[in-house]
Amino acid sequence: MRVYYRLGTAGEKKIFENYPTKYYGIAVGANLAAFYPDWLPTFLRAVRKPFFIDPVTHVFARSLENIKKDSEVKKSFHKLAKAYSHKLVDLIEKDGRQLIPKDFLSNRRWNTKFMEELAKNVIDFQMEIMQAPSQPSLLEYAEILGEKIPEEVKGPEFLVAPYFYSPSCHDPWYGISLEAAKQAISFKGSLPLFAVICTSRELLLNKVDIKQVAKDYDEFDGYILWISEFDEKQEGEEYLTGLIDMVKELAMGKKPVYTLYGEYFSTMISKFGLSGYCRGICYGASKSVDAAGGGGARLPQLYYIELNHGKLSETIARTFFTDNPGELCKCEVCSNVIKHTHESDPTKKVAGFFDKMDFESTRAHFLVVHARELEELPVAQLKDIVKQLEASAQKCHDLKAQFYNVSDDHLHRWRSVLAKRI
Amino acid sequence: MYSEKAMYAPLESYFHSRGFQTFREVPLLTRRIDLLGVNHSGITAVELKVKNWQKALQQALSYRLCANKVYVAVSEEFVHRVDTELFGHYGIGILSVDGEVHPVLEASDSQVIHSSLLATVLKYTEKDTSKRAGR
Repeated sequence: MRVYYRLGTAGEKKIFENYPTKYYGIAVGANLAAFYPDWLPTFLRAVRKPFFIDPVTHVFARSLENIKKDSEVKKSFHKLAKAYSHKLVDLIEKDGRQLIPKDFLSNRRWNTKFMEELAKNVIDFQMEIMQAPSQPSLLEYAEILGEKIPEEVKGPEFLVAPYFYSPSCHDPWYGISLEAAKQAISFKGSLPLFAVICTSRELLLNKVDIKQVAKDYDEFDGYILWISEFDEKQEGEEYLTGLIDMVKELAMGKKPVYTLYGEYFSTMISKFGLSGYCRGICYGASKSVDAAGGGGARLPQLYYIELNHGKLSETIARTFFTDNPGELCKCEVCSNVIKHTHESDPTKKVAGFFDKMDFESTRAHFLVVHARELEELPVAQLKDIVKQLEASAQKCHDLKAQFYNVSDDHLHRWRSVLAKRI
Repeated sequence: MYSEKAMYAPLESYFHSRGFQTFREVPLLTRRIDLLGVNHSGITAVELKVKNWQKALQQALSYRLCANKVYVAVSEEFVHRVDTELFGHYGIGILSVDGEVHPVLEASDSQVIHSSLLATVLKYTEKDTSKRAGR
């Protein structure tokens, strides 16, 4: 099971560099790549992890308000539009509008000129990402000192075709997204090309559409699923079941299937063919296609709790662990922080722990704990995973976790959905 | 039925008559304490809820980390629904409000104070007191 953590801002550099063994790879939004053409390759060379670029083409077909700041399209998206297509820049700048289905048609047929241009540039952008001039990296200094240099990261692990959001197979954007992705095949060279299936939660309830998607996209080397607003912890059983159905259907082609946003439920459904998933480090496990793009928002400081595989605000975490000090995490990051509290009284220990637990430690704790979950789950049998969920739900009940706003509702739903598949 | 807003005045009178200085909406990390009373004996925090006592309990449990005593104030109309045994287990008191304030369950002294949070809350009240005095 592979997890690709999304690089949200350049400020996250350190956490990626400090814990390279705790994740498989890195997902980078093309807008971030466009904004940091020099810094990004230097970072990727230094961190030496597999990566891919999410082309985020969908943003240009949604309301431009999503990518604006102070009434102007954010610089990163403006640069990206320029890299993708002159027509796109004209639409945004001169016409002040997003892409519409008509832009992809010419005399009732595909506007192949525009589609080809877009597909080629989207692929070239990803292929050329490591070619930007960069300052001497630590590796280069190491080489000067005569140290053994590991193989350098030359480019993305795989390419990602352009994509647009379509709520169903019957929406005009479905055909456009599929055609734009197919156009990219001829530009991929020897690299694998993945298609993004960016759709609605409702599609998951339609087995005919699921089969249609798998059939239409069978030419690609892998799939990335983005179900807009799909929140693993909030979804009802029918939607969770739908996601499993979709993953199973796509995985029948023996090609990698990833989710672009996910969390613990994604980890569990590796049993049904999911090869990996992406998310931010302790944030961003679910996203709407209409979420404001381009970062700038302050990342929340949330504490990951293994008990319900959820995240707690500091207030709730302090309260819950004060009443249940035995539940404090024993991972290497937390143990080190606890050690430095020099307290034996349980309340003072918990208070001291959270006083010292800064933003970086909170995220490091998540990386360490989740890496362990990622190691354990895929080798466990489904019936054991179900038992584990039952045990966690029972423990939540015993600890009266709901009174602390530590929910266990999703554990029951996950258990129920998975138990039916044993 | 009492609105949450209408519960403030009788509660403030109740605490003023007992020698407390009161503060509304006092920040506590990611939350805000509806009403905080400070006197020579310490800090009392109050969570106001018309009827949803479960939600009130969630909030009140956090207040124990920075207050000596914690109460949930509930509209008199709904106070019979509150699980007093559960509140007693956590040492949270209950106040019934119907234009006047009637104690239903006394709060116990908090045994789980986080000194850093207590200091932050006290600092806020001192700052707010100076601001009021400067007006």
